[in-house]
Amino acid sequence: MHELPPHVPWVFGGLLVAMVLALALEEKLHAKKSVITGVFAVLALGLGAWFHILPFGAVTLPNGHHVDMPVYIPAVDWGVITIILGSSLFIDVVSHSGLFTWTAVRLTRMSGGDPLQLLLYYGVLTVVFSAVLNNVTAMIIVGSLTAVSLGKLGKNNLLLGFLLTEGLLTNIGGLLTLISSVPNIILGNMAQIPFMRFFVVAAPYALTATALTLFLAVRLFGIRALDSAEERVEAERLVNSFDPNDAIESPLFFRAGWLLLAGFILTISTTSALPIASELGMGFVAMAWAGVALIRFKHTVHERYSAMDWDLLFFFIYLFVVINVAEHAGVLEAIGSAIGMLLEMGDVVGGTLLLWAAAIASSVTDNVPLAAVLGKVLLAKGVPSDSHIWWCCIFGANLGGNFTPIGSASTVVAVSVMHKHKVPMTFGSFVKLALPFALAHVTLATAYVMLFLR
Amino acid sequence: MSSGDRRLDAFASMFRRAWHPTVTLTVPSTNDVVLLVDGSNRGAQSLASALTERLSTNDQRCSLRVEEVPPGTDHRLLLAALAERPPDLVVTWRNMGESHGDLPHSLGTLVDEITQTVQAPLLLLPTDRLSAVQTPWSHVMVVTDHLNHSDVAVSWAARLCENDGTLYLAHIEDDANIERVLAAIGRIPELDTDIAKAALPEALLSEPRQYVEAVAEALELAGIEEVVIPIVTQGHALSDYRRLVETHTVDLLVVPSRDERQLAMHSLSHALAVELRERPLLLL
Repeated sequence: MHELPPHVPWVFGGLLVAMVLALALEEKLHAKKSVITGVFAVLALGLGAWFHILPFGAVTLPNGHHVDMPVYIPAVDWGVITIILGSSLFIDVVSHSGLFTWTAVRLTRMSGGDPLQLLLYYGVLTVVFSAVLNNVTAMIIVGSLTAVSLGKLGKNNLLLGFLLTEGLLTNIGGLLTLISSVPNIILGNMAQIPFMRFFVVAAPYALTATALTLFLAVRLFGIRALDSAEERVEAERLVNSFDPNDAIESPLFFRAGWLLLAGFILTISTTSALPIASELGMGFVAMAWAGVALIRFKHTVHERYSAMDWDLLFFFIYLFVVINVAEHAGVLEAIGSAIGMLLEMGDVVGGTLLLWAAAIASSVTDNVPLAAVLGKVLLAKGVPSDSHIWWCCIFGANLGGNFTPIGSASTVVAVSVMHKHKVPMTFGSFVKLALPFALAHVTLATAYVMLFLR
Repeated sequence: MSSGDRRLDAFASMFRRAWHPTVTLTVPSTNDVVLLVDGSNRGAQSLASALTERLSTNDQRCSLRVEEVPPGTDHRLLLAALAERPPDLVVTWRNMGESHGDLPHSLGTLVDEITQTVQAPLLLLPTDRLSAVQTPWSHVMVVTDHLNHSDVAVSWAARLCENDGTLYLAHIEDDANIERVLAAIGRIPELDTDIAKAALPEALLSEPRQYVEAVAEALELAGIEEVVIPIVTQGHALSDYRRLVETHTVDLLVVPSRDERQLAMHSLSHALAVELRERPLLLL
């Protein structure tokens, strides 16, 4: 590629910053993410062509064939897109079997209506659901159940503590597996971290951070066990009024739902070891399971398609285009130089600074572009896949969402459940309440990465 | 509404639907019963004896006192006394204490006042009082429309029904109410009228259905041997209740008449109290 004029990286760097700012101000602009990134993708492609920085021409395939395709098609990481599309579709179909709501209601009954046990059960449930589902769906299920059950138990005064804790735990659960959050998918894919390796590394942290979060929640929100036997009997009577089977429309599909979920998790976690699947990739595995699950809705498959979050999918597609153009414009190289300076400070200081910088950046803006940019930069710098630096980015991008109510989509859901139930919560009060948790999470992550992963 | 809000709402509805009504049965007391009679009523003693017999159980002997209310007397002292120290049950009949006898479309001033100001349950006897009390109450119907007070109503019905009798748990969702809600939904462009038309009647009937199921379970748990027959449907409440009472030869109709916000009777119970004059009617 020819030498770039010095102002080009600045132009496209400015475009990238403007897009990140626009995404941070999404609510104020009354515009969806896909529209924002779509506009910037169009601008980036237009300017890219104007400055002659885009690699127009045929694409050479691994077998030596040349294929003509628009320049923005190979710009998109279709592996990531198919993982997101396939797993979202699969989970949407399986959730219609009622297994997630059944599990949630069963746990509610098991708690006996005791607030302390309820918090512990809902906390663990949030982490597990965030790991299996996406964080937003996990928060929607657990958050709505929390509001209904605390309301029925006459414990609405505990709603704030419960919802805030659950919102924060979604980002802990989001760390558990390679497909639990989009930053994991992007960074894990780029670093080529196998599913099981990701789980084995992330699980001890997720377990410790969950226990720490619940301990802090009990202390800070004053959540206590019921004192008297009469209270316990009455609470148990009330929670036993929940019928877990109410959500099950077809017992056969309910059982099939469990089998499908087990098969999905098993296959996706062993993709790298399976002969054919390892070549086709996790995106294929996710799409294949979605296809199998959709047989249940073969006549009404359009309803399942319409339930997809297309805004999110197009957001990723356009984002990849913008970042790809920025890469051709030398922006990522410039960011890479800055990160290189951080890394030159040494494994511990550099890694720590990178983790905290990623956390702070993702607390005020979307962690997806952050993960995509960081991933590209680390790839370009040739950081090996077993380096702790990848984990600094993964932990930072996920945990930064716990500092502010806009830091992650699931904390936004937690706050909207609060508002729906007249629990006052401002930006400032969220930060004040969440700060001890977020600091504990990031500090614990720093210690974990530096002590065990370096 | 955003797609996230819609999903939140959908899950909240699902969990609310999964919450089934609970039933807490009690054993109503009949230790302190007041029978209000006209000054001129010559059969008061035999009625009192029959009532004592009817309201007593093996565990609980009914203590009944008779208060005379001659026509034209000032009822205020009596009402104040009943309001201040409500008995377990007040028994009387329509147009009590009126000089003009039975007006077929009215409850009378005193009965009206009792329903408005006195907490105690009120048993209204029909014109053929003695026979109504002496006939075994084998077929007892409870109006469970008013879910908040239905537990008390069911407890009274179970207490007053013969051991091997039949308890009808009735809920009639009035067509007019459903039509009114559907008409309102039809004026909101964001809501799908067809979905509402298909789902609303079922949604309105599902809680009463769950409630009567829970009552049947609670009665079984409490060892009560009465046969429980649920009747949950939609229709014209007043005329359908009249028809059900006739069809099932109901000996006693139990009606929760007060809601949580007020002591006064709500519209359906008032209409039933006025219209169904041929059977004993317990207002709670």
